[in-house]
Amino acid sequence: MIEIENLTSAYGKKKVLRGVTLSGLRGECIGIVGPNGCGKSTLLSIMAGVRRPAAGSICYYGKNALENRKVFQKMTGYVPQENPLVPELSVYDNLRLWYPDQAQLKKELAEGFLQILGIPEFVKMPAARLSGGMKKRVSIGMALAGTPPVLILDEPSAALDLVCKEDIRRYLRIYLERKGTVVITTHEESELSLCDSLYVMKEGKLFPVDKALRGAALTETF
Amino acid sequence: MKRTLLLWRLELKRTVKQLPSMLCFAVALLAVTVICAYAAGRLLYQDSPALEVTVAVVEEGESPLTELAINYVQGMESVSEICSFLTVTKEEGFTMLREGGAAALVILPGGMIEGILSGANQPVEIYFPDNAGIESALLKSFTDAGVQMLRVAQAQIYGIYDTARAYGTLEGLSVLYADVDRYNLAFALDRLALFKKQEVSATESLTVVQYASASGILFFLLLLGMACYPVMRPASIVLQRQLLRQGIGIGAQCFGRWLCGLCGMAAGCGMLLLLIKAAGAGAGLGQIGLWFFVLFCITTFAFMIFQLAGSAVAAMLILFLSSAVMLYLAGGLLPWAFLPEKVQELAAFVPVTYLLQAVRSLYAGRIQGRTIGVLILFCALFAAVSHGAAVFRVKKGTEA
Repeated sequence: MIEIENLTSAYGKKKVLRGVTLSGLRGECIGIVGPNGCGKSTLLSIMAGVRRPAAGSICYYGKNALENRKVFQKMTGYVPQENPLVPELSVYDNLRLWYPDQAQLKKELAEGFLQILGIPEFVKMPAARLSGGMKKRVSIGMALAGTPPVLILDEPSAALDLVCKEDIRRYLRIYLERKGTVVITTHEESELSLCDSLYVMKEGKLFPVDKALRGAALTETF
Repeated sequence: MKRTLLLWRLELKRTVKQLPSMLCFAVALLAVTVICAYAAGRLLYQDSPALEVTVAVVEEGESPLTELAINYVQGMESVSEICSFLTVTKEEGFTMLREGGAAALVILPGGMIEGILSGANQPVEIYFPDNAGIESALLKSFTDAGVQMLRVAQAQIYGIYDTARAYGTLEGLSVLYADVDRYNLAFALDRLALFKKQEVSATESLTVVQYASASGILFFLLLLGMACYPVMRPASIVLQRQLLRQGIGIGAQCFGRWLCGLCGMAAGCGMLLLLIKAAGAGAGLGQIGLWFFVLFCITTFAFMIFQLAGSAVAAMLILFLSSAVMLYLAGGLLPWAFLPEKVQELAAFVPVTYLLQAVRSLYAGRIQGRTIGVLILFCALFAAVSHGAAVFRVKKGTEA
């Protein structure tokens, strides 16, 4: 369902991605680990259509996303490291930017994924007054607007407490049970338990990690 | 398009929420501007003349008649209002001239008055500093004019004497001299007419009050951009990228923020107009279209600064400094005529020059087509730079 081939990218003369190839199925969680600055976020931002690669191809459900950018919009939900919130607006207004159909938004809040994320509890609060965990939940809620089949998360648990981390893992399990595909970068060992397949990024390339060697890979990486 | 309209609507909602804090900031800025305008007004409109000229006088040889003549000149009202004479030695006089302590040095020869009476006419020497300030320049101008007058009068006196001698009518010389004096005083040296009829104004066609209030209004409007920082500062890169992903282009995002800035500026400007009207000084300032045009230009300028600076604090600092400097260059703080020639040449390239013309035209009731054209060009340039800066930041900003 996700087919990425030979992606390359560079910042100026510095090559960050050197032929990344990756594939994933429905209901699969793909984990990517690696040290800071190795290109994980760059890869995810390219997969989400935020950056353009220098070369390579990205297909979601057989559709070439680089040829038709609307594919990114329809097929992927992207949760960047920082939360894309307008601090002065309420959570509801922030969500409206991503759910233009108000009826749909209300339905999601009442019985959809936004309800599972627990957003209705603080939907009227200004985004500036939310805790880190609440902001991350709203960010995930935004990314899930339009129920995209692929969810891309860039270190979703960074700087969150243990309860929030557990909550996020719970939401992701539900998303995976509903046959969504998750691509996640992480430094958290506990999040690796979610992953069906794990890759380590080294020198701009992805290397698969055997299930038995996951702990060792994480330790070696850092 | 639906998403874009929704973004603009939410941006406006954000502006409404921020309006009370922006207006409080605007009130503080207004207080600062009023204090600056009052101080500038006092400088330009004080009772005592703004010009005070010190003239160093050297008397070569003691002479009671020369002393008497100096006291007479110094006692004349038109002279004593702006000039003070200081009797010094020659060395002291040149030192004062070098160090800027005197606008001119006058060296009176010994027995000067006696020489005038006897016809010896010993010359008086007047020195001006090399880098003459405005006082010295004015004094030099007056002296040159005086020398020209004396030359003409001297030529007349010698001419009358030679003519009277040639025709053998030297006995009627005193009557002829008296006639020439009368004609000179009536037609050539009508000093009173010169003082009463010739009006010179550094503020051109405006009164000093209009000049100061136009500058004050413009300075306030430029600073108002600082008060509008909550709505004009760029959104976070991550939000802008997410919006871009949703199909809302950078241009549309920028327009939304600019529109909010315009609304914030309009609210601040409306508050200013209400205060002006309450103070009973709103006559001639009711040109809504012109106000809107000025606001349009200033908002675009402030928006560009916010986009270029990136952070709100840096933008506010740049906005304050650039506004003050450009207002000075445009002749808004000091009348243009008092500025150095090089600065006057720069003014043509400063957008505030044309904004000032637009604000001043609120008093005149009409604006020159050229001013509108130049301002529209500047706005187009500001908009292009803003868009370029926003695109650069969003596209080139690196991920963590």
